Amino acid sequence: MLFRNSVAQGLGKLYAAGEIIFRQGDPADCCYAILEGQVEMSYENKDACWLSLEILEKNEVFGTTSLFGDMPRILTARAVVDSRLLTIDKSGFLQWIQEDPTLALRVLLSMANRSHRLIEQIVQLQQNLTGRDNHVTT
Amino acid sequence: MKLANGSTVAIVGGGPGGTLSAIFLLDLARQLRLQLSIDIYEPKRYNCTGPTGCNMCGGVISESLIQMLAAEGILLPNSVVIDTINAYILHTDQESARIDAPRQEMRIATIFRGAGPKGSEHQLPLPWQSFDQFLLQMAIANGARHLPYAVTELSREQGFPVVSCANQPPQRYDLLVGAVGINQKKSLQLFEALDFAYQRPQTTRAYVAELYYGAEQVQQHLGHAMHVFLLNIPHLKFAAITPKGHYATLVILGDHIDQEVIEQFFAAPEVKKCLPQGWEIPVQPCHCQPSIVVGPASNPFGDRVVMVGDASVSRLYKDGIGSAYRMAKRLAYTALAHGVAASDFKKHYWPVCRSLLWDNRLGHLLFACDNLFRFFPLLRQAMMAVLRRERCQAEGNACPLSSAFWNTFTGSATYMHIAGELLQWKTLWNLLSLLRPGRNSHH
Repeated sequence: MLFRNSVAQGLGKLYAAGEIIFRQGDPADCCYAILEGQVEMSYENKDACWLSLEILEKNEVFGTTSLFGDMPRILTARAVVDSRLLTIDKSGFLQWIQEDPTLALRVLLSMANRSHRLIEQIVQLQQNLTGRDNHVTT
Repeated sequence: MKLANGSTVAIVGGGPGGTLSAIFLLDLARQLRLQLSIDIYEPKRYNCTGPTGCNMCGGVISESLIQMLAAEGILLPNSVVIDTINAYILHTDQESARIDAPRQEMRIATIFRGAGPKGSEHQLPLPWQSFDQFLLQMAIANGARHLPYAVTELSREQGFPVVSCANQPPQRYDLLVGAVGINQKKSLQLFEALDFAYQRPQTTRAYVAELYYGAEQVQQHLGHAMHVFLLNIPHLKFAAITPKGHYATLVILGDHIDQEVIEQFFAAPEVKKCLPQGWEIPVQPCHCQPSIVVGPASNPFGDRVVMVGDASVSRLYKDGIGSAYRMAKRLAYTALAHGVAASDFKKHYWPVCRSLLWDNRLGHLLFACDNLFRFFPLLRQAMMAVLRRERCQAEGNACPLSSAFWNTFTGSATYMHIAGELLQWKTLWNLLSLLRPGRNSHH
């Protein structure tokens, strides 16, 4: 017996570095858990310019916002490095949240943390813009 | 009667029911800014190979549980995931049909509950990790204390549960959680002797064996698919062979599974196709005949005491660990948000058990229908033809029968949901239209 060669290929699905996981405007029927790797969330404006909003790490769950209220994806998700993701089906996720108040609390906390981070970014951007305007004025 | 800052909890049993209860209790307590002290009593050593270090089951983590754990932030490391499954192949005595995962993704894991099959210790250090050990370590990392002692007595002192072990002073707790496995007869007796009229659930016997094929042979003969057999062998209800790295796990369910049934099973031509050529059945493979739950326990809670996992209610035949997960979650919520009196458990914990109970009744009915497929060749042929047709038309089309079978084998949906899929007019029409002799021949 030899156990040297591991045959386990791991759970989830592999996304190569740079691969798009979902695009802004796509219908949302699932969310994702990052098993390995990093995922960038970005926003594409009318001029096809990408604004990178955050980089998510292992253990984070993303793509949940669009599941509430049947909204399309509001951001684009892209693998930064080779990443392994697990898809969580919308129907199951919404059912578990209804049945399990502690999971609902966890999701709320995660959304609150993300919203805090985004507010901080907005404030920072505004300060940068104000600073630049002041610099231009002076 | 509520858990407060500094409350103490004893969990008897360190399998998934116990460790998940500890993890969720500690997690919620942290969010509520409470300090809990949790002791897990588990004498079993998960680093031992063979049945002594194992909690004895088929070792498949369902699609729904994998997703629930991930949503909760519990990711199974690759060392715990021995193999992955993305298809089921249904074998009858006439033909086989493949049912692929709805998403082309690996979302079912096969695991070892203990350190590995008997005999694998010759290859130390083993490249894999026990699933139960992983959860126990996670509970310890979250703040639980592991006490490797066998509990010898359970009693009460001024209404509080007291846990006694040999050569240890008795410990009084605010809450006692019974997370003992259904095969731990002595521990179950201790809970039955306590004052809340608990009675263990009804059980039947299963046969589980770990068969060494070698990794290449496992891939060649099983691939990433679980092979399910609906064969017309007396006393055999269900059999499955699951890939597990270098091993293939055989699970047989039925009444009176003895050596004769096992030999008949291995002699079936459909089974031989899943065995390596020239492979001989080992004389003494790592095997066990564990009890599995087929009925509910009576009175699974009282004041300051509650049973969780198999010792309470478990999903019929499939996804016992998933049932333990749901109960552990609800237990943590009930104990910390509402209280630990019998009335609190009845109001907030029991509904989860009750919904499993009702669903299991439907499960019994569905498994009884399964006999129709096994004993009526015409119906079986029609079923296989519908599965084949659904597979050919799968792209963008609803496949209710394949989905019902997928959910039955994987334990990913409730029996209520599965019954709904089977009773869809499309499924019934497809089956009925193929029932006429001559219509369901191979194309």
